[in-house]
Amino acid sequence: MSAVLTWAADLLVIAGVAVMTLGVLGFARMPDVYNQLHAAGKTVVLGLVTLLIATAVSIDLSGAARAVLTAAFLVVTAPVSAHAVARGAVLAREPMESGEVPGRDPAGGSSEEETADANADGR
Amino acid sequence: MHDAILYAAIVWTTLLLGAAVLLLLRPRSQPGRIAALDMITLILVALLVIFAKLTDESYYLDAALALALLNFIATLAFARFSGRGRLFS
Repeated sequence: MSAVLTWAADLLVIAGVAVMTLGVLGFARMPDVYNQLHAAGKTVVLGLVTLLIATAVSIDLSGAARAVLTAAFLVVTAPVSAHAVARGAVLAREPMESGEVPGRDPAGGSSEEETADANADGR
Repeated sequence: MHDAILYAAIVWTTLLLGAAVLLLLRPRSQPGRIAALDMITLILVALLVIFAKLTDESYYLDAALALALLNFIATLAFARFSGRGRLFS
């Protein structure tokens, strides 16, 4: 059965490298930061997890434990990294592709007008 | 034959690394560059993992885990600095 396992591991390596290629290609083609984070934070990490599973299948037990640990760590921390970068972009007022800046304005301005209009409609 | 696939994967991942570095040098926004740095480090981790599978030595996976940890911390630090102008306020 080790021949089947070897071919399965090779297939997983090819799949992992293909998914990472799609991630880099997606990063290259996306117009703004918030879309690039989809490619860099999700797709590349999932390709990497596939590569780690391919390694865990075909290496000795202590190495397989380390590979699974690295994969679990990546699955837990990649969304946190992407969220931190997105939050840094919102705080730095990075515009989206359509030109508008996400996040609400600081105190004053349109939020006060909106609450005044809502109170007027309620009465 | 079995090693040829892994050698091809290493060559292709090195080409991906070159492409990612070019994407970093492309003049886009600063948070875009932080995301590109994150991606470069993940491609380096992938190189280490393929090499671990190629040579059947498990200590390359230790290096991969350490690089993934450092990537996480560095991305958080860069993003925090980019968002608020300093790290600890």
